[in-house]
Amino acid sequence: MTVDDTITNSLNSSTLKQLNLEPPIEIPSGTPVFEAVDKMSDNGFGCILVTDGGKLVGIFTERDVLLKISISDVNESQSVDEFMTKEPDTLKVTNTLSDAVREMSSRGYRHLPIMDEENSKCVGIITAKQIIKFVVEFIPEQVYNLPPSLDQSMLTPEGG
Amino acid sequence: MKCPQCYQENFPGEDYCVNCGFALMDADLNKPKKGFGALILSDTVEKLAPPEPLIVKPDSTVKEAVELMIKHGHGSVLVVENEELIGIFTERDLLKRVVNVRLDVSVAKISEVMTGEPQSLSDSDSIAYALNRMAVHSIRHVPIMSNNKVSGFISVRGMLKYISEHTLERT
Repeated sequence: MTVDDTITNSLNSSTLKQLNLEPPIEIPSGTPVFEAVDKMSDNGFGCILVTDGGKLVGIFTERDVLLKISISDVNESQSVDEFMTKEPDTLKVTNTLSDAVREMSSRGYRHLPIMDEENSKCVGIITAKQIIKFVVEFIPEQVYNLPPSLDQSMLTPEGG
Repeated sequence: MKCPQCYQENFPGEDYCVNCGFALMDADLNKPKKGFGALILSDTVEKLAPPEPLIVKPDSTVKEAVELMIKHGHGSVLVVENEELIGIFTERDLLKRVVNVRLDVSVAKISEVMTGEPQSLSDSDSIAYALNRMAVHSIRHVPIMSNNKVSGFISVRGMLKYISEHTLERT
């Protein structure tokens, strides 16, 4: 039993192909890691895919920057391959949105590469934010029209 | 009930708010009675189990802040001065304002690279507010205040878990 059949059914029946997936940002294997950092920073994107001859070999995310680069002694010539997560988990365009929610929430991923039907090429990335937006579209009244948060409101009523 | 406009506590059954005159019966009628839409109005952000925040002072170095984030596996730290929340520093800030420009992390102060005046929520706000901040304002980390002091923070990850728990069948 879930609380909302409309949302549940929609998550179960919508395939990832039906979504406007973010196009993946790709760099070739062997690219200097700071080039990857620059690209991620300029694009406002939280992750970048590393490919070798068109094949997905790794994912490089903001988390990798935090954990492996930010306070480490990294040489400008080191390649992104040394810092990326190799052979990342992926889903296919034929998977459902439910599959994506399960995979991401159980593993704590914020980005998941989506492969084409033949599992040969990455066609997009699904993000946690996209899933949240998908769900919010079912309940716009409750989310878009809100009075100010209690935290931002005055402690005593005006004039009180 | 609490007036949605001015938050005055009214006796149950009042038609108009005694403080501002807001029509309470309408506010009550518009609320969905069931489904996820109702749940996010009745559940407070506490249901997202906000983890204890990582806190640094404005003059802490970037390195100190990053070490905390790595140690606890969190994507953000809050910057607090005299018990007041003055900023937030996230993985995004780290990427754009530190690593991208090769800032010296052992010298730079967190106040130079943080995002000031972050949008926070109260621990008694509903999940709807958190969804609003994340879906509309594209904020990934939201500090939670309790009695005007920082008590936690919620993240996109926590929200995804909540959505998953309430909208997907367990397999």
